[in-house]
Amino acid sequence: MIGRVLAVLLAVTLFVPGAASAGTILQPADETELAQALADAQEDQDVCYGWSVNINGVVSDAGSSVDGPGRPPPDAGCGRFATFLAEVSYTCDSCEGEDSASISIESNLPDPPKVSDLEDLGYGAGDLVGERDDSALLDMVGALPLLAAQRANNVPNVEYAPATGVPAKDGPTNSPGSDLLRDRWFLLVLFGGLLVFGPLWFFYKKGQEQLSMTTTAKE
Amino acid sequence: MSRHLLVALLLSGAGILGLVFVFTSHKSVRESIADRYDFVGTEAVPDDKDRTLVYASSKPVSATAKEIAGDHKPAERRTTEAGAFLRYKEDIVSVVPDPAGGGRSRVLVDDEDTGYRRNYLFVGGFWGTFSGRGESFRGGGPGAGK
Repeated sequence: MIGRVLAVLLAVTLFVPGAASAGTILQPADETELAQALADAQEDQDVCYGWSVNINGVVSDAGSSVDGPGRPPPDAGCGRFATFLAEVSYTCDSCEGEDSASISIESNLPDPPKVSDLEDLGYGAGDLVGERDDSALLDMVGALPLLAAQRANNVPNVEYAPATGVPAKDGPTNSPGSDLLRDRWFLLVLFGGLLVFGPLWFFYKKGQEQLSMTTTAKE
Repeated sequence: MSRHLLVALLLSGAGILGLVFVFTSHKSVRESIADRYDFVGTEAVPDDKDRTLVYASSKPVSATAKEIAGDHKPAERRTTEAGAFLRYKEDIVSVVPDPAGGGRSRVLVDDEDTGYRRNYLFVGGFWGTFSGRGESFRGGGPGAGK
């Protein structure tokens, strides 16, 4: 009996319309780490930072340097602030149209961080509907203190220092593929194609000629 | 020589010349950075025998990272409050604010292992293994009693 009830509950959970599109982008541990990094930056810079992401009109991810993860940035209490805002729209599998997103930065800094700064760093709204939406969101929000400092706000940089005491067992994994292929794959395909196409074209034409000669001889 | 053979040789010849150009003109990210920015010196990384190559950029972090990524598309990237980090096959490039300020930045070039150790707090768990701290939000900011 209990098993049947659980099965029904599971089925209802899985098939509630929109359930697949609900949820959050960031994992709780990542949210906490992000909020803490922003809190440390706030301490250095005296600027409040936060983020608020809506998925299909509902707040899914939020947090701030003031209140930590899970709560939208406070409306009051910060002299200076910069908040990352995003609207993500997921469409259902059977619907027409594609997932989309828009991003903006709300700030009262005299020279506020801009979306174009994030684009310079390699991020855009489309990243929030990509496979690595979580790391993109972490990076875009995490970049706010960096961008606030590099603009003319009289805000100090967050100090960068190399890590110490790194466990010896930890190291990089999944080494990336060739830089040459990543940079120039199009040219490699183009010129490699030309190299192969030459002989192919020659033998094709030669075959056509022989076929034509055979047909003529038969006639 | 038949017309078809001539055309085939021209096509393949263009392909060979193109491939030679692609391979010989491609610079590594290290070479591009050395060409574009002023070399400042080297810097030690804690608990690592390899030293970091340090370059100076007159532009802020976002513009410098854009230049480097424009020359060589990184396989992975991370951006944090402290800087922008680009990962290549054998190198990790860190673009961080110049401590002297002035809207300038420093470009730090490391091999993959040294770069990972240097930036462990920023790329650990993203580009490799991470057995570092898990923590709860402890706050910060003025009066937060951190």
